[in-house]
Amino acid sequence: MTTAPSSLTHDQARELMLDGIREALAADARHGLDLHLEGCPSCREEYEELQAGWNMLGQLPDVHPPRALRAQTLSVLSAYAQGLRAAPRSTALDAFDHILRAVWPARPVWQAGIAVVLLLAGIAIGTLSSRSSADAEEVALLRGEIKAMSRLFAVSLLQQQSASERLKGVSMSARLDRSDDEITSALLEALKFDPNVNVRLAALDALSGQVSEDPVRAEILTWLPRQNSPLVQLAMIDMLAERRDPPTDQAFEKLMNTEKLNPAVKERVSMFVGDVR
Amino acid sequence: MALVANGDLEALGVLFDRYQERLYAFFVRYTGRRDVSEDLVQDVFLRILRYKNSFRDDAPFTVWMYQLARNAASDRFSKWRREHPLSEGDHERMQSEDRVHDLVAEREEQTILHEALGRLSPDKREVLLLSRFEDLTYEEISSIIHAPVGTIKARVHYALKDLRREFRALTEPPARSTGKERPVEGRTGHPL
Repeated sequence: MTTAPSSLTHDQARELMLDGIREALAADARHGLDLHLEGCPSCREEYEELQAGWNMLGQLPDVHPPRALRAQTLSVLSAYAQGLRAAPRSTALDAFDHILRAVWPARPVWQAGIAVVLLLAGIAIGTLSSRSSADAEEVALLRGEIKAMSRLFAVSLLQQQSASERLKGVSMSARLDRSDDEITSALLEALKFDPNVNVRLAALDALSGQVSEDPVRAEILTWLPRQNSPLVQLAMIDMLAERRDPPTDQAFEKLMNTEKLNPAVKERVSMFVGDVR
Repeated sequence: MALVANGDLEALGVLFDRYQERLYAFFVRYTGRRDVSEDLVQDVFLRILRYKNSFRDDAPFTVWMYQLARNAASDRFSKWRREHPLSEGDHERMQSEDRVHDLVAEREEQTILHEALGRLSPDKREVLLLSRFEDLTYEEISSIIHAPVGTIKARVHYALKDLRREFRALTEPPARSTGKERPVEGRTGHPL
């Protein structure tokens, strides 16, 4: 609540106008403003203009989020939280379980995709149970196909328009076989080019188990100075700093000398460059 | 929020139920785009989860949430500008078209009002929406925007006047130019 003397100047009256139209003035301030407006046509005109704009905004219709937004968001949050907690390596069964949990509440088209995978698995199990153990090779083949479909599904999610779908893709990729070049490549693409900071951070998290591998490390080092998000740069620096080698030290030194480097990034990288010196 | 900070996803669900409507409405009014607003709401809650340890309970949760919302919208805006390296006029025209297409089903006057709102500079539009719809004090808005209270009040003041001017310009037939009309200060068009 704002208070004011009963006799106001134009500037004082102008200062009270917004609180006036918000009905947030104390009684004496309201009285003082009203007195001024009665005797000052230009301030009254200005007040009425503001009041009209304020009231006009009240005509904007109520908007409500689509019902699906809750399920989608909670699914993404759950997938993200699980991704953070997930062990670096898990069994194929665990990975499939996580995939189902992460994806099931999402769009019907993805539910249909999972249903197809389950159907294939059911057919495979049903068929194989009636055969002799000599069909083990075929079981392995089908397992490979399911794995390939999961991989295809993850990669296709990474290419979706929606950031939340791409996050799911990263989360799924993190649970698949890390030695898979296609998955690694897709995660690196997400880290380098995804427009959404959260997706890039999640992709970096997913690559954490492979940062000791030279090709992956080299890619991250190359893209460290090109990242436009300080958050992603900080996360990259922390990850790279866990294992120091000459290329990393050179990259840190070069980054620290970059013009217009974010102060937080500069401070962090200087800690490690200082270690070397 | 304390439960969320301890990793309780159900508590985050409660926060989502409590704030999704106003957050979504804020983004729709700010961007004029429902699809973008859905993404932004998700983005804000991901940021709440990601930065949960940075929340300090000496300020209302809504202040922190709108700081995250502002950053999310800003990141989105920056990305959009990088991906559309066109002239200022092109940006304005395309963004304006997006708004109209997305809101075409609404009543004509409301559509014009959305359009007028979209013509305000992002700075003015955000303080106007926070002040008008989010039940925040000017001190709280000041914490969100990181600007003095006096600046916030002045921005809301001029935003309301600009809104009226833009609304009139969209509804009244064009008058013969006198060469003396003043363009709206800081007008940059819609951010997304």
